[in-house]
Amino acid sequence: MEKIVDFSGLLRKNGIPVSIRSTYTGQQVQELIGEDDPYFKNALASVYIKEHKHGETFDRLFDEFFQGFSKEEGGDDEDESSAKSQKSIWSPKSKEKWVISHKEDDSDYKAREISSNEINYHPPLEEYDQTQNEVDLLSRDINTLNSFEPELFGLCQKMGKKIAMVRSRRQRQARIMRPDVRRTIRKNLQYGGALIDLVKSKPKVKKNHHFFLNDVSGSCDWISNWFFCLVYAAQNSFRRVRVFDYDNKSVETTVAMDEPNMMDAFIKVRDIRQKNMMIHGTSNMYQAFESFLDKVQLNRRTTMMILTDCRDWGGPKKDGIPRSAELMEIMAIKCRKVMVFNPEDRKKWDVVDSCVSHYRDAGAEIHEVRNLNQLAMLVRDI
Amino acid sequence: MEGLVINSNKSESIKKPFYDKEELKRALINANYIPDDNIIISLFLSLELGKPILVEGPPGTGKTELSKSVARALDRDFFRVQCYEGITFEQMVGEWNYQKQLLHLEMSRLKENNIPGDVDRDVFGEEFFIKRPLLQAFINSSPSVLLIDELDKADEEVESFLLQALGEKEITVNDLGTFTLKNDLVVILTSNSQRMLLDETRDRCLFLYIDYPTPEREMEIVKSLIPDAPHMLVEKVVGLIQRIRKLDLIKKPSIRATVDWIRTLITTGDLEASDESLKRTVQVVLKSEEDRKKVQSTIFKSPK
Repeated sequence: MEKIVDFSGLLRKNGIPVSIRSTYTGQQVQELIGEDDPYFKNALASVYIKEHKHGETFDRLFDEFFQGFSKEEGGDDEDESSAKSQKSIWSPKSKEKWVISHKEDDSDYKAREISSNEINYHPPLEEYDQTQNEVDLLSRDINTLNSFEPELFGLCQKMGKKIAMVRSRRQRQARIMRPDVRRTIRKNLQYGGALIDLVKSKPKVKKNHHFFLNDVSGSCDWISNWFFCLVYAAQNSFRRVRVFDYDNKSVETTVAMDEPNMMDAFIKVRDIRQKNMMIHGTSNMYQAFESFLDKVQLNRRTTMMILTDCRDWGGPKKDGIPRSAELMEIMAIKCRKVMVFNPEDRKKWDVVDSCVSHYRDAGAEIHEVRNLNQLAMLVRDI
Repeated sequence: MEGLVINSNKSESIKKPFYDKEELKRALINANYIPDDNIIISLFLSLELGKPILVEGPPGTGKTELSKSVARALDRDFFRVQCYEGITFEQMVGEWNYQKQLLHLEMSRLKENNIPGDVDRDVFGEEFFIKRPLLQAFINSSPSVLLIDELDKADEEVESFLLQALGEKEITVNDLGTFTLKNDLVVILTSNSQRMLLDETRDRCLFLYIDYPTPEREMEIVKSLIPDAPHMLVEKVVGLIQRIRKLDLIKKPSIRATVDWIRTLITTGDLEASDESLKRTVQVVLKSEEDRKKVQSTIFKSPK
């Protein structure tokens, strides 16, 4: 019994989540099969491994534990394994990423207020420090989430899943139709007026299209990644999603949404960007929107979501107004709704070359998105 | 399978396995399913410990077929719930027969000595409840296999509801009561990982990942499905399929595709499987133009 409990602990230390139920089942397996049985490793694997990606770690730990195990060495092994766990990508911190601790009432998903130094605001240094829990990550300034962190991927996936669930529930509620009294009475005349059959009105068929445009120029590069991850995880709840990346041109990345694994989808998007020389490019929204409009057909069923800081560095201007605003107006006229998600603080809008007002005048709705919570709530309510 | 009898009192004899792994393997092979060690041990544990199996893996690797074969091998009744987006409790467990309830109420009105309270109780009886596959599998009197296919396509609420069934082996229906498991049920859930399943669901299940098979296993599978196929043909096609799977394709060929390719070659009469006919028929296993071009350029026009 002790051995299995120790093994469960070792797995936990190395990032494989093991419940008490699994330990109990592991004990049953040990009694049922025995350590000498060639099937023992496979049997424990089927109990302890809950995701395919944990397979390799399990194999390594099983071999270390059961093939080099003895009572005397037990303590040393533990120390060794805990030392190894420091190097492992499945650190003790990462194991907790599967525990959903989303606080619904903690905040209204508002970004933190900036009291001074409005224009030259930079995220405080502590924002870059490693944060310990998901709630902090969700409310952290999105501009500081600019490195590859597995926790963030898991988090985005989880948020996306929640969004998909809320959306699908909303859609299902909308499909529950009220009884059609007139048709019900007519149908039940054949039973002499007794209510036997209930006829419900038919649901309206919605044929909405959703277009997501990601600004991948230097200033929005990482934010666009998280945006993509959220959309990827929630894609099933959208109808006809198409995703585009742009800097001074636009490229469709919808094909990556078909990848079964989010990490593969992410790699595919980066690959597409690289092939199209879209790494740390300069924004030219006029050219980008123009090429986007050439590729798609917009209509009144289309909802467009554009992630951008509204800084059209390289775009042409006419009388001081960026010409990309003209194209924004065309999109706003053709589409049901154009939403702009701006990762900049509200106080920096319209400062220097920010063209927020021009886009707003063109008919776009501008939303501030300064942390993952705000981003997730907007995607949920589309 | 005569050797496999249901153990009515498993919990007391947990240390002494009732089922035999080798016998299970033979039974599955007789049911035309070629298992590997992971499959055997997962099935063995599921039978011994009464735990559901969660099967994941790429499409076309035999996840769904496994449950059908288990039912055939163990000579059990088979029930299937095919999940899809929006599937509800009513479609999985059952729903009230509204028309029958109304008719019954109308009939009772015509009777002279009816008591209103009794009528209300009457119409919420089991007789008025239409049972769907999940409940049918639970209350079936003989041992059964239940397949819950593509669970990842169902909404999270459905998964949450299943927790009671998977963990506590009972299903609660409002106004009717709680149904407990009446037979030695093997539950097999499949998922293509389109969305992450709940940690709670995973925790209640044994996990089995079925990957693309090794060349040897794939040859055995093909031979069991097409016994007439010449050995050379099978060897050649399986070898090619294994090479094709190593390419970076949009959709890798499944075992089903291998079988289809061999059947195509047999139908066209080319039992020798010449390079020309392989090249001509490879499109049977490829599902996109991009993949076809990649395979044609790397496999059939390679310097090798």
